[in-house]
Amino acid sequence: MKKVNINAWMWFFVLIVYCVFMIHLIVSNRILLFIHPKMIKYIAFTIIVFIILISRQIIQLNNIKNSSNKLDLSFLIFMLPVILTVIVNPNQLNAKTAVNKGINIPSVSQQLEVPDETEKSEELVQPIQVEVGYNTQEGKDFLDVIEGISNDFENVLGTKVEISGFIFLQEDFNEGQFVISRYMMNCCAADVQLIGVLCKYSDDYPLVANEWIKISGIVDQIMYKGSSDEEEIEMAQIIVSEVEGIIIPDDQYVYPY
Amino acid sequence: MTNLTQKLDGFTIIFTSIILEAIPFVLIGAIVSSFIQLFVSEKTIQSLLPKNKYVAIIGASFMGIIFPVCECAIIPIMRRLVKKGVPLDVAITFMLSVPILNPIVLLSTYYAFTGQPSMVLYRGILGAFGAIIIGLIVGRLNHRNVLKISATNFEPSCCTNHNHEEHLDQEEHHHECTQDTVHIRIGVNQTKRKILSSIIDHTSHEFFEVGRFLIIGAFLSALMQTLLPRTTLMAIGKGPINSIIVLMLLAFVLSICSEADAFIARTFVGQFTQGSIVAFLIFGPMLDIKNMIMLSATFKAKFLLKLVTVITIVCFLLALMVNIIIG
Repeated sequence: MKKVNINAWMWFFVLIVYCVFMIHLIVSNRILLFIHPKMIKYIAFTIIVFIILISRQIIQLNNIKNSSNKLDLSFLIFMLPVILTVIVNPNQLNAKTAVNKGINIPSVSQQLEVPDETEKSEELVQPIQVEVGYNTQEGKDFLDVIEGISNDFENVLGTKVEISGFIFLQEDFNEGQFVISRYMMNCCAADVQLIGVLCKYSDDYPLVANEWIKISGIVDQIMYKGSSDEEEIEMAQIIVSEVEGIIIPDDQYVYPY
Repeated sequence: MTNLTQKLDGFTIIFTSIILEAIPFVLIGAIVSSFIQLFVSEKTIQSLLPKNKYVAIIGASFMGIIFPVCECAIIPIMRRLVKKGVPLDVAITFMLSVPILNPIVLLSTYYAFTGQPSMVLYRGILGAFGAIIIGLIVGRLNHRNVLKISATNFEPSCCTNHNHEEHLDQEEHHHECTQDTVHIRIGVNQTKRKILSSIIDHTSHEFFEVGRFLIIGAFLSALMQTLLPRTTLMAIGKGPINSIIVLMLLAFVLSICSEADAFIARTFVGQFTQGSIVAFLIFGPMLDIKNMIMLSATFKAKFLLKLVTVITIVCFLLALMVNIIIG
């Protein structure tokens, strides 16, 4: 029987799988679940280099000189992320992850306090004004509200807003209270931060964590007490008049720059 | 959705996203490494390196300014340089400093800390200084044969007339092969083609070597991020010493690119000490789960352990110094 260079074939196979995987992610827009749109050009570059590597690898396939019959297990490692992504088929970075990696604080109060810090707001504002480009219209609306609350609260107070995001619930919330939130991404899903606004809805609506909704309401303010040892702080709260369930958007993140 | 599937979703997204974010840069590193392999001889490197060790190390720490790559791309390049005979201490300083003292990284730090430009200075100066100190300490350690020999069975053969053993033993062999043998035997066009295919083969091999470790590193990082609630980490404390430990651990676990980490660091202002934020900014690019695993492809475990210890202690002390001076 003709000897086969099994490891050369495996590498050939891995490169093709990666190429197809990356092209699929870009074409289906699923890539946005993982990385910032600005990174897509680097993935395109990777695809081109991989195609070159694949064409060269074809020549190696029949080269049995240095081949070993032992299959290198590294190929399994290479296949792992692709297999996992295909099988698990994740579609949302959910609030469960938020509790673990989310924003840098134990309670929502501080998290919501974040936009109130003037210094912090500078960071939020400046890049947003420079480059709105990467955000979808919904994402931009969301950032606009956050930005308005953090910089220019007096002007935003009492105005009507309409934003979409997912529901984030915390144990110590009152009935009908929730945070409408989105993840803000700088580079990839490993660096996302949760941002959001406290909301209050009086009507009966089944508030399920992670569900995507679109709300409209009036910006109000309340005194909020995070954990027992903290002082009450003034915070923005949207008095929601309408809630509508929506499907998870293709582009669920917001981008500060 | 049950708790478990949610966690699995989060894990998969973070795992794959780290890989997708890093692959292009590891690939760029592999390509640069191939060029060094083919076009820069050991002789050239020896003649370019300053004779004085201290000058060489300090020079290496400033390479980032003209060599703007991040921490993923630098690893294949450092590997190649060490194999080409660059002294270990110089190569280590180079590897640790470039991802910090890099215009893109410093600029993103500047944007992230808009109201606090001094953070850019702390990061740049302490990062480079730390890298020099670590290089010097590593140079003093006893380190013979720190490099791992390629453990894989798979090695894309470059020139078909050479065998596997020769390839490992003789680092210069490509050089000779493409420059001399081929040059004389076949025409110039053929030579160009041969060089090109050598570059492609090397890139392919280098990517294979480092890529699998990138995947293991990304796996561990995603696992830690999914299973270890940040609140647990924060519970260690916010004092001048504890805060440094917390943020160094966080930088290690998160494995985020040095071009994006400043935006995360920004959220700690006011809650954590200044020194601990500096620690996050200089330790992260030098060492994290992903990088450590990638380095294990190059260095033997014993040396890697020493290196990790030295990096951790130096960064910790620098951060402590900031806390003591600024308060």
